[in-house]
Amino acid sequence: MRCLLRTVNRRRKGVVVYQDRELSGDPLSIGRAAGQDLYLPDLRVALHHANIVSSGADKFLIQSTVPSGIRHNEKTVQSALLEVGDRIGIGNCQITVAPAGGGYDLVLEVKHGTQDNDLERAPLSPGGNRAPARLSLRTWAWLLFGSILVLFLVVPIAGFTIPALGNFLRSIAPPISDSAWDPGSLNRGHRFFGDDCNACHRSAFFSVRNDACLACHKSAPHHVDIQAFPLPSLTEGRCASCHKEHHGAEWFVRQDEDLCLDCHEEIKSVAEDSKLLDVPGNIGEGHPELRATLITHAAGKEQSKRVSLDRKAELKERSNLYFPHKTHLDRQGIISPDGEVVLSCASCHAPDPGGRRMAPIHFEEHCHRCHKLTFEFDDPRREVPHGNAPAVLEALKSYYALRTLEGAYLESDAAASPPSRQRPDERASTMLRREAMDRAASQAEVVGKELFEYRACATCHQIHAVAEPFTRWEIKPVRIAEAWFPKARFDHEQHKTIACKNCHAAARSEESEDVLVPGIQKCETCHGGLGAESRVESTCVSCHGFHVSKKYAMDGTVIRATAEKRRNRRESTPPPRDF
Amino acid sequence: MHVSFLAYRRFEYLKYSLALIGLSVITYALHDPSVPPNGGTWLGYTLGTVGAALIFWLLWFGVRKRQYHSHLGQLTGWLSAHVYLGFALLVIATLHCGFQFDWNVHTLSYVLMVLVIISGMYGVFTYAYYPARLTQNRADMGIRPMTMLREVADLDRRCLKIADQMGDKVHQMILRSIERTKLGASLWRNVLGGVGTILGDLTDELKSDVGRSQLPLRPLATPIMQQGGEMTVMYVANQFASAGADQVKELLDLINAKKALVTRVQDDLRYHTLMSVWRYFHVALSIALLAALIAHVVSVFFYW
Repeated sequence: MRCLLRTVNRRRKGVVVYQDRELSGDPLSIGRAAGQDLYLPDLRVALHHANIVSSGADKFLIQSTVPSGIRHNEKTVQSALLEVGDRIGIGNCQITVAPAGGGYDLVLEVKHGTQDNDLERAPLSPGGNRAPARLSLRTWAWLLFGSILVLFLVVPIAGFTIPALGNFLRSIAPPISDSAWDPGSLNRGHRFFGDDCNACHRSAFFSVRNDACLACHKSAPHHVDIQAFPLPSLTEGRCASCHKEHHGAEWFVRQDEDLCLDCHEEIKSVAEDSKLLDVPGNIGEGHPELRATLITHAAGKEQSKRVSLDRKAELKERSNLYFPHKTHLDRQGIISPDGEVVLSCASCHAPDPGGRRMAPIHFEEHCHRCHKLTFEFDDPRREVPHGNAPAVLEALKSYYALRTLEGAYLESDAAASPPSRQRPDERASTMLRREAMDRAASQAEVVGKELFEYRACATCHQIHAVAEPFTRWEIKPVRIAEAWFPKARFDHEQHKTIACKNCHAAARSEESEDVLVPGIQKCETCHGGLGAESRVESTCVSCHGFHVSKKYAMDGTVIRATAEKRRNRRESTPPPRDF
Repeated sequence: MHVSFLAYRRFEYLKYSLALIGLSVITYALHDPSVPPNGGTWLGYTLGTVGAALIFWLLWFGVRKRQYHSHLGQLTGWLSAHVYLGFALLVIATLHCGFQFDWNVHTLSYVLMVLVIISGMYGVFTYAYYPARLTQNRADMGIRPMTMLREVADLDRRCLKIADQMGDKVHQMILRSIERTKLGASLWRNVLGGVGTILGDLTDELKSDVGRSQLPLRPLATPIMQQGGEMTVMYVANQFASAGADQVKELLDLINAKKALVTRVQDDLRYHTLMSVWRYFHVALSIALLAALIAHVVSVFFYW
């Protein structure tokens, strides 16, 4: 092996002096002893520290002969294959492998350190004078600063400016789109479009405007008749004043009572003509007594009237029915065609399919089992029809005419069915027919009077008898409120675990005009206002709706029921009570 | 007389900080917002404004501490306020967000802030705990670490000289021991990849003392000297038979002295590292926090 040893000496003033020496032999020895090929006069070098041996064509291996090893590219090793550019450290000496050339197999540059400096520095920097690529604190900090600003501010803003980019980012990398700005999950109902922030946030640096809400909720009813009560708080208010988003799946409507009490505490101060009562506070905090909606009849038409539950004298339902709850709920039972039965509330009252309200009572379904409309003692299966007074008389007439034709004596005290003296083929004379018709009609009237005035119809209905021009009876129209509190959000389903009698004093009610609903005090035994700790926390909107105007929508337009809506409404409205 | 920055003016800033925390907590407890507590209520905005102002002011400490000619309060006072009000920020920001956390830039800001505060609290701990140990460790060695390093180098030289006289085998053994004594080896760099080299820039004091050397990054490692040292001692002891007893005894004394010294140097470096390295996270994360805070505030009003 021919090796060129180039010793580099730094003199003062930065002058570098090279000293070349040629070595030959294999191996080449390195050490502190005399006679070594490469003599390194440093105490930290062993007498014979290492060998360089050839290892195949143009390959050389450096092998340490002492346990302390050598430093090969800043790592302490026992042997290493030499490559051009490799740095070998032995003691204070640094050997660099230079490109071979000039007929030499190996060219080594040797730098000797000065004794003092290197001994001191060496333990702390075994790597010698390398200069690794450093990333300073400042660079790192600003890199972080820039990355966060770009990823979480610049990129989302770019996505807002260029909607196509925004949609793309949301689809592939939500964390660096405006999704990263989402402060909390949306209400359940808004989630289906929730990925598109701009469905609501349409203008930068402007709070969400009503038109974003009305894009979907155009037909949401307004609070009141805004022509009659054009209050700025209603006509200029923001949807977002009450509806707060990004607070989770269940949270959407402000629940604080002040929101309502601002106006309703002294409603006259904001709406002079309002017929509403002042509400000093929520339930348990001065809520006024409930007012039941009763149906009245005045000036030839039905009207509804709200009567406070504490005004007992006025609180009478003029339903034109006789129905003593007490009698029906007798614990001993009441007589029925099937014997004595004990009725309970559920015998007649069942929730409607939605469960909120109770389903209407139907004669056929709920009353008929006991209240048979029979009229002829010897024909107990025959009944008059229900629900149509003229039809009753017609039915009676037809019945008795038939009986007459069949030959029955219609006098009530006559023996049953003496045979006719006429021959079968003999046609009844006109006189006989008239006589039969008169008899049938008079019998129908006698029985009708009995039904209408004394039993059957009169058992339950108030009847108006008209004598002229001929005797007839009119059933007074049944006027029962569909719901005592039609606007309230009361839900029977949620109260079904409580016995009916806890709220409805039906077992003691002897008059059908009794309004059997409890007052606010009863509600307050379980319900309390916002923050109530020993009651069910109930806010204004637990029972009252805001969007209740029947006339105006939130966008100020008049609600026009289209044909389809009308049809839907008809279908959803329970059929009129059938008595 | 020296007063710790913690006790500056009889804990004046601790009192301010506690007052601020107390005020915030009481207001939060009494606050009855119409929506779930969050940054968007009046209290949320108020606490947010106070918190943001605090963050900017706390960041300003980095500028103030470099203004050597500033007369705007003593730097000790600034540091005292920085520490206590920084702690108050933790409470204020938590109340500001109303405990609403999610995967978004807002919580990112919060998390960064918490990390900055925790690293700062660790820093306070190191400043309170390690200086005393550092001084104790350097007892009778002078203050400059260079003195200790010179001492190590001197012991190495003396060991090698005696060993050389005792023969090549002993010399090789001692040499191995010396080569293996690497103060502040690059363990951390091995663990954390390139981070170790980055850390080098932080330690201004060490850099000026030991030149552009590598940062001592073996704060928790056992000094390597110990293991190799035992072997060396065993080997040298075996040389009693073949060498002069005086030389062996002297060599053993030197090795023991070096071992003790290296342990002290290692501790010194470890304490220094612990007292410096937290600042790396503290400062870098606080700059990151500044970015996240800007993104947080702008985004909130962008999609108001």
